[in-house]
Amino acid sequence: MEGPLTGIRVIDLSQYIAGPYCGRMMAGFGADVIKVEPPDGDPIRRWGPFPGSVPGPETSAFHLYLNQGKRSVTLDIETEDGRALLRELLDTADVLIESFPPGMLAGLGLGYEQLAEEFPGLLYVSVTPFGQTGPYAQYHAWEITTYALSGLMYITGEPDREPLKNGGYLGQYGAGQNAYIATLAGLWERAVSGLGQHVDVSVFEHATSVLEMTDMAYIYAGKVYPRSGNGARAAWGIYPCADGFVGVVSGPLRRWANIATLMEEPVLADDRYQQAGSQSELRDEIDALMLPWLITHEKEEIYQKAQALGLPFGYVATPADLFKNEQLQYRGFFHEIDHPVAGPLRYPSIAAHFSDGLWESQRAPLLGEHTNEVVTSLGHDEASRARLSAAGAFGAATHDVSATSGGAR
Amino acid sequence: MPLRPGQRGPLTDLVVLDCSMVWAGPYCTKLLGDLGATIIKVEANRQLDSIRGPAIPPPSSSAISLYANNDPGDDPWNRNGYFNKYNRNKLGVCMNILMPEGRAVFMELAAIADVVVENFGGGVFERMGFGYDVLRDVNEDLIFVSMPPSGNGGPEAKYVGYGVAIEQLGGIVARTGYRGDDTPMKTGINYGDPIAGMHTAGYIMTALLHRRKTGRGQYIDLSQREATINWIGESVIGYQMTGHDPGWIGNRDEYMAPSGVYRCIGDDAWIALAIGTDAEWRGLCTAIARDDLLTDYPTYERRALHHDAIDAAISAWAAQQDADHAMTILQQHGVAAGVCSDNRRVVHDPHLAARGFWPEVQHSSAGPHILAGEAWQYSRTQAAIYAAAPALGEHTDYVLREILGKSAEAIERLHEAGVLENTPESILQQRSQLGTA
Repeated sequence: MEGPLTGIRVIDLSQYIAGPYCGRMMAGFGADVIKVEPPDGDPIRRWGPFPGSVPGPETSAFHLYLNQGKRSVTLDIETEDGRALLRELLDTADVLIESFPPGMLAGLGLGYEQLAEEFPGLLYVSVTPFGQTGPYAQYHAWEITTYALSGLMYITGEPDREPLKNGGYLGQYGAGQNAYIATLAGLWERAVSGLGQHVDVSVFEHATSVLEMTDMAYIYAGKVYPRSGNGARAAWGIYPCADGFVGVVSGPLRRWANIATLMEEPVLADDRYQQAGSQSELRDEIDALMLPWLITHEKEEIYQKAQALGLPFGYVATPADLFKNEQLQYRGFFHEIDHPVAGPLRYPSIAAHFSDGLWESQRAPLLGEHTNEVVTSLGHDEASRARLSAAGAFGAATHDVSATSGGAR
Repeated sequence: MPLRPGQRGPLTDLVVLDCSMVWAGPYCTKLLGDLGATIIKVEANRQLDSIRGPAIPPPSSSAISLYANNDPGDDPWNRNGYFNKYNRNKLGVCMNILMPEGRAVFMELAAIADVVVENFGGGVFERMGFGYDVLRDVNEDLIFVSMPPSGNGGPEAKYVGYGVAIEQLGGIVARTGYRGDDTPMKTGINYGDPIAGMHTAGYIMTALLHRRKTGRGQYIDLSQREATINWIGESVIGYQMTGHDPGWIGNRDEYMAPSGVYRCIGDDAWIALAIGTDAEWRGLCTAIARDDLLTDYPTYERRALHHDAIDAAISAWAAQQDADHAMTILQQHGVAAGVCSDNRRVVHDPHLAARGFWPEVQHSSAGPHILAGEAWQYSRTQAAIYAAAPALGEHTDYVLREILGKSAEAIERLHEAGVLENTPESILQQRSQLGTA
């Protein structure tokens, strides 16, 4: 399928989550994304979840998701021949995505300034924890580090307990989401100027930028914002139900009476509760009136019935719940894709319907699956490939690139 | 060509007509505006964007700290930090688009826009007479974005959703909570909104590149819930592999040990760290002078098994440390440690300051103040935050004059007809009741 990014070639040197997520989106919209991996693979291949919890480089759920639609080429860029091949690839490319510690690629002669003259049209996208400059540039970070520094963690959790990290890797995904926007904006401008540039994306700055308004509370009024747990507002927050948890959202208050209707508890419609609104003093009383109904009903039923009454309830959806939801089924959100090692699995697709289509879900590549075809396409015949292989450009000499299957793409 | 002085960035040739409110939509247009696009935000004085706050705030409002200098002033709708954060760099037009003359002006704006963004949901914008089909009649290659909670069409098309519910429906909350607790925890923000905003901005760029290739516009129907699920993709795939829900594990980590926050000297001060490699572990043991731990727990497996004992050792060390000093020492030893910043510390963070993350703007009512920047920096077409959020209707005349080319007389007629009004209707009513209108 001809996609909006068809004709754009991306060399994706990035590892783990943020950079690869950006590359995944580009691939799904049609770009030719060549994932250049070290000989032992992107380390994300060693993170699970794995089928039956048995690790394997081709079956990491992270890898299968984040590298969808890409081609995989293994190169040892610590070797001169590996670097030479990377330059050959960059000569054919529009975008480079990388996530190495600042200065590392420059140490290999592959920094932005070093490449800019040779490849003036190249958009060089770096996605790192703290960006390329500033006092923390060389600091190490995992998800919890940038999350803590951003201010997001301090406001998550109970006031009398330790700050709580949000589950998953939202800072990483968010940085990747921003890298995608920034890369496409760079391509938009490049179409006019013909010039590439360095795009410096920071996970820390992304995470700080999503602080809802606590930064403004300090900037405008000097207020230090505490954690507030699941909230002190009455009838607003996470409540238990028969099969998990639901999100009771009692606003807008003009619909308050509908909560009494929903929960078959006329007392809840009482004026004093209605006027209580977001006041916390009546929280316990209101909870006592709501809980008997909530814990005897299931989340999907509560959600559907509440919404039918115009109440913006939600529920705490687990992955199992997501597959059962009729709206997600109606929209065809999950795409089943087969994979030669991991087998058929349902993957999240894209969060929008485009009137022109545009998105295509494809599987992740096997490690080095496309080394042979890509290197051949650069004009290296069998003898040349054998020489590069013997020189260690693809990693240990035992890695027989000529025998690598081309695979189906 | 940029339509306003000061606009810089890769998107200065784009015009976005922004009919969105609250957080998700304005977040999307904030991103595009910060990249240089001209954002024309259309508001109604009959129904303010709710993040401007009430036109007449209750006297003892607990939200008073959202107002500049703790003072709602005479025009609280212009002084709310929430609104003023997300609407910087935008032109503010206030008009009644349901009146025929207002509708005509709106259609003129739609005709020159590259993109229209709305987040009314449930087909409300369409029923007001501004559906994609209608706007396409005046602008054939328009990109039109609708971003309701669960998408348009389908059994839940008309459902209402706030960010607090979207983060639950999108699967984030089911992974967030203290280890061992029986109830999950909401995030500290309403996460569904910025996630939807970021997805939408990227999809708009995608559709613009598609338009450049094909000449065709596009209707983009975003689901905020699906956007959120995209950020837990590995959980969804992993569930099919393992058959069990990943649940929540607090500050621990599936692939690292130790991982947690440790209390430091001071009030509610904490240092967060995670050990992902053996080299980092060696650095930590050296930094806290506990080489015995290195001998006892040399591998990830051993560390994961004895996490509690390691936590106790780190806690004992951290309790004697200033958090910022602890971060410096640990980072010098190659440990991925960071202070758990409150909103004051993050605003004063030395790294963010050095990166110019908090530029200052001058607001017409709130005065000078700083604003959070974005996750990206460009080497050549540096984007910029160059203007504060608009006061209600601040640029109505500017846009009609400079962008639509209307004469002073034509603009005056629209004012007289009541199409353009820069004061909230509730205030006008109050004044008329007091006889001061």
